[in-house]
Amino acid sequence: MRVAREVALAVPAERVWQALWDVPRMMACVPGCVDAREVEPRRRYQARMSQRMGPIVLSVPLDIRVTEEAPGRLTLAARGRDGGVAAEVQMSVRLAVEAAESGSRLTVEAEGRVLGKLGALGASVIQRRAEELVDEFTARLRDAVGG
Amino acid sequence: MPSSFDVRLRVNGQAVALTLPAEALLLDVVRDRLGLKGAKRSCDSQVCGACTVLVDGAAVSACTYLAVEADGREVSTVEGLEQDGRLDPMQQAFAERGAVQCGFCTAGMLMTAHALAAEQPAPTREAILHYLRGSLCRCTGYRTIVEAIAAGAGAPSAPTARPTSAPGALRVVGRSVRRSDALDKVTGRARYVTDLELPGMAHAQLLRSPYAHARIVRIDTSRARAVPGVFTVLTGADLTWCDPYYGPAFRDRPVLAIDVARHEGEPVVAAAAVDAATAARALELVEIEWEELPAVTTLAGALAPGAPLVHTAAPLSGHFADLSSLRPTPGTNVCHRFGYARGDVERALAGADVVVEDVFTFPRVQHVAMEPHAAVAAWDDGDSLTVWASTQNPFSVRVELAKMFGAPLGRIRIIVPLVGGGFGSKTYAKLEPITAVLARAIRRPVRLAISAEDAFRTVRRCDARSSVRLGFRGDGTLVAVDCHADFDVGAYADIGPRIIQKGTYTATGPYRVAHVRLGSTAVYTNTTPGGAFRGFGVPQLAWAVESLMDEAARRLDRDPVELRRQNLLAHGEEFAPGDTPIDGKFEESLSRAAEAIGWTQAVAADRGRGVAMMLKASIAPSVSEAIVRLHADASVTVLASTVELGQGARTVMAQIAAEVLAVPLERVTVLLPDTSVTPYDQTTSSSRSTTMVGRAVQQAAGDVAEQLVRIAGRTLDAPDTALRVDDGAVVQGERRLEYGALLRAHFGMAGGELIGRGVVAPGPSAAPLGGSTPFWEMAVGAAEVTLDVETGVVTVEDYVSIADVGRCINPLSCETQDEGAVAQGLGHTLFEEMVYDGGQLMNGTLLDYRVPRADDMPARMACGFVENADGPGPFGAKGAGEGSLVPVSPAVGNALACLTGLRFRELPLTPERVWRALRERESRRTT
Amino acid sequence: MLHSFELHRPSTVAEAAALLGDRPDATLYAGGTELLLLMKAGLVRPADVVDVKRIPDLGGLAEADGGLAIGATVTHRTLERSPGVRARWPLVAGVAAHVANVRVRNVGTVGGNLAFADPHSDLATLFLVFDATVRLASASGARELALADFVRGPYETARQPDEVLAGVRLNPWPPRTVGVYVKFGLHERPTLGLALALTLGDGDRVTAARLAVGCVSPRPHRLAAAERALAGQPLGALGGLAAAVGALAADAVDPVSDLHGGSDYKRELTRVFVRRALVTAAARAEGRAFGARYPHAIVV
Repeated sequence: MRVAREVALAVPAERVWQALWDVPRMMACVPGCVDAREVEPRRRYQARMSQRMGPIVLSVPLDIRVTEEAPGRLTLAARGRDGGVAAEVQMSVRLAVEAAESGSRLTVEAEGRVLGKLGALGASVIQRRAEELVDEFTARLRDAVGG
Repeated sequence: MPSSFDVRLRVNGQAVALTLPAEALLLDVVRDRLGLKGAKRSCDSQVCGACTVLVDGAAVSACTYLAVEADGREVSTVEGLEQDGRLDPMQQAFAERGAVQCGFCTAGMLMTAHALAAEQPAPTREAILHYLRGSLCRCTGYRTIVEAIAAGAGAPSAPTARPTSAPGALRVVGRSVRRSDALDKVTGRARYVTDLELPGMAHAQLLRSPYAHARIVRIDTSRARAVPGVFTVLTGADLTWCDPYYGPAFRDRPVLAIDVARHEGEPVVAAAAVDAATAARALELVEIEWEELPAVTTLAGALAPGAPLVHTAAPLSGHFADLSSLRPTPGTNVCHRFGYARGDVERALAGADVVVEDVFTFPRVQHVAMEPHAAVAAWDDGDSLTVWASTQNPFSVRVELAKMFGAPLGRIRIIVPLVGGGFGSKTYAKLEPITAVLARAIRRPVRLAISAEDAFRTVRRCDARSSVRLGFRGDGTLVAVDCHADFDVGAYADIGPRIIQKGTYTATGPYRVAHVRLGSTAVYTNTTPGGAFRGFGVPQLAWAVESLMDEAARRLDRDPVELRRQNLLAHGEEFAPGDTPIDGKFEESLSRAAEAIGWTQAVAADRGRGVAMMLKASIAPSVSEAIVRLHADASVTVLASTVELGQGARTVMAQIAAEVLAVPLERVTVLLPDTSVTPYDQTTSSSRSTTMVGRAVQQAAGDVAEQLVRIAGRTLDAPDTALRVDDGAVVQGERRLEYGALLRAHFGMAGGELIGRGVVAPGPSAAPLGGSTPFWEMAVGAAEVTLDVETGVVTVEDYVSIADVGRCINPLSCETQDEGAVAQGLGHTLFEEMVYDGGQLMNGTLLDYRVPRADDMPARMACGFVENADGPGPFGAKGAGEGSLVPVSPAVGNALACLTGLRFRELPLTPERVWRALRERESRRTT
Repeated sequence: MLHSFELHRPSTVAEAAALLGDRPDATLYAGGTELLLLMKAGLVRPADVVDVKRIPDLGGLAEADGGLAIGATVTHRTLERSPGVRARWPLVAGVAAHVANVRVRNVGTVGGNLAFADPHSDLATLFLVFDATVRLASASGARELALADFVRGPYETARQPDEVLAGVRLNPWPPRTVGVYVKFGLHERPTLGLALALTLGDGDRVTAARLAVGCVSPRPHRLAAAERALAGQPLGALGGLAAAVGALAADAVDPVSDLHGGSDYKRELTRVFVRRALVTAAARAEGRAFGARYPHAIVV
């Protein structure tokens, strides 16, 4: 699963950058993501991700780590396991903000996989769902930063 | 509160009352509660049809049908078809027309056929194909099944096909006699490992790695062990009381992952419990902490400098002479390197008028034998182990288990019932080690039967990438072959090192070539282990070399058939110094195939036509032994360890013994392999059984015949040379002494029997691979294809296969074997490929992994044989069954190149791949 | 192997609705050809399974007001073999005859198929060109909604947890309507499904075109732009228009790349088979036998 999106925002890059670093609030912009909390500032977070795909319900406690941090660039790696459907979710989300004509430009590059039977059987639905989630995330984030 | 139901149904006319939980599946109820084992579990996803039963006359997949739904209904299974002990017409037609091979799909096919016949008397061919949309067979090429259904349903059909090869003075050999197991298979009486039940038997399940490569940090099985009904839960770390590693080349494969899992689906934890559901439930409670490791999942990735290593060390097995000097490259993923050269390739290529070269790839494919792997193991109090195994080589399994447990060979007994298709997937140990370990741990019999889905995680064909250069003189003479192939053997070497040797050794095909340089590597990756699969390395290279032969013909402006003919090795000519001289007249096969496809007539405008050849050496050195017993009533028992995989080997052995001893075929019984009873045979693979075991049986029967003649000679006071066996008697002119009378006279009572012995063992060899091939397997394929240019769909309209088999002992068996080989070849040519995303197999079920169906077979298909009785096997036979698979890909690729002008280098030729190639050319043209 | 569950067998829609109301996580079972596979794979583990097949009201198959009312528990096989459906709704019987394989058709139901909402469903795609409506029943009554609004995405429908899909109604086509269904694919489930209905009026002009596509978007849907391009066109012009309409259709689908193929390939298949379906439909409208066969494609 791989999704890349680029969105123009009407607010300065700095404001977006700050919003991204409010990780629990940012996580809440991802549909299905709840109970986000900080474990170790700027290093480690937790959240629960729930998704329903028809009759299949996936609910994963995510362990989220900051794996890369540079000016304007932030990469998060998340993983977790749903014992019920024997699926493991692994994600890496790269967020980059830079100044642009509109104010700023946010780039989201998400990559991930779902191990276990669900990952193979549901590959195309997962890909589509990932695209929807990233789109919804950027829309909600835009609202959140007022851009 | 889970509900249970009182269910009353009729099963094959008998009233049955059961109390069942809601979740009981009809297949389990029919098989395990009612003991009707004809319906089989195979794909477990409603695709294959092996579990088909009728409910109120309608075909259903019993594997995906709640048994409580059958309440108040009539369930019909294959066991109910016979009436008063007589086969019904459908069973009769299947048995007589070669529609039965391994038999694992047969019950489902028959029930499907019955449902159709009840709906549509005298169905058309189209109606049959439509109805078989959900019925898979991996042995036949479906022709005989379709014809049998038509005949059994009373439709006008071809006369019962019973081809006979020119038998001369032979009575039984050369005739298409009915398979000896046909009746058992059409009645559901045939028993496979999965059907066995032993008193007190436990059922095992495996927990597999979700990762392609990961370290096991911690496993906690305590909750799993606490589940009521669980006998044991084992991990790799628990196996301190046996040698937990096995493998025919390297002992690199742990019974359960130890410290590290090296491919997705590798068994990590095993549970044995009162039933499979309990074992599965227990495994859900196992907690494992993993540390994921970088994985290599492609050949390129595994060969890249600095690639993560799948193994750091693996000890040699030392089982086989030809694998005693394997050459791993330390610090890399290369576990063996093979090289063979003669002449001076560089100089020859430099001096060649035309050099063609390219790189070809062959996909990862799975055997999809209808019967997934299964084993039952039981230890007795005296530390003797018996394993009922679905294996192609019980003696190799015996060696592995003896090593693991430090036991003498004589204490390990491997019994092989009927096997539901192998195609190489059941060579060497697979489930037997873990099943034996579990049985040892709990001291009761254990059954382990995996799903078709898990078979994809057990073994597959090695994918390969071959770089080939061929050099020709302007007159078409092939002067040089330079070839290097990398084979992906997956996470464990299995028999991969031998595959790369044998596949590469005959890369030059059936052609004469002076300058040769052949090299190959066996490369570990973090994917399902690669192993033997029909063709054993040859299809991978023939795809490359035979495609390039056509490219050479184009460059040389020569007819592809004529270019091949010009370079063919002649009968008696040396293939390689020290190896067996060529034993066939290959040009005859090539001409037959060319004629049958209409090579000299212009090809239709919308079609492409192509031809391809293959040559394969059989396994060498190799040993086969047989014992033939002539009983007091002149009946005969043959003891040989040929595994009945569906290929019909037992029938062939019976025919040979009946021929030599001049007794009716019905008087001969061939035992199934039992390593404590039947004598040694190396393996049922490599197309060797008819030749090697057949010779041993012929010898053993001949030994009995000689004894008969000697005994009769004394009675008749005649020299042995004046006597012969004929129709159950020793004959001298008009005088006849029946065997029974001879034996009574000899033993002085109506008891005692003659025992004959046959041993076929290789002599010393100077052949490059360390053993001279017992025979050469050679086949030709010719194809005509059409193409839907807009969708990229390639359709094989016409296919001809000609194999040089020396002599068909049972022509119908040869024909159905080769039709099945072509079908399997069409699979990897057109559809089949295991698709990985990183280390994850994305299509490891038959819902997504597409194997050929009845309606995929070419509209016109013919499998023929060249029979010059020039083989080393009995009556001039040589091997058959693998050869015809190999030319399919290059023949179809050559036909497609003929039609489109495009050379395809990657298989399978899926519609999308072909469409992309066409589109790419289009964009090149327009830019 | 299945996990244990409680099987409920209501005999009325009200009972079923009550069960669903009490047990929000209960799973409906109408044939099991999809559900049992997921349960065997361990992906769905319902504690309660509600079997709706024993509700007589859901098993009807009847023609009324010129339309065809198909109860949710009518099997594909019943649809395929019903003399009335074969005679007056041949496209429906024909498509039903090509769903999966005969064993699945014997057990799988129309309601189960629609409610599971596999994007590869042939019936959902086909029924869109009959402007089908579905009826959902619950304890508080019943509601009808267009099939197009019922199927919302892959495996997603508008059915509320306490509702039972009671049936689907196909609306009659106007006189002089010809239909074609095409499905293409290599795998067990199709890669493309396509339904087309052309209604002809005076002067052999197309008065209405209905075109639906399945498998190549998150859910089956109608192709409005292509339909508009066909409306008003004379029959004789369809051959010439077919390529352009195919291109419009290809623009309107939203495929993802998966085992069935890359998104560009699926788009191309849409283009090709819309064109082919149009040519086939035009030939049928002209009363010409059109015997074109396309490999790996089924044309009904």
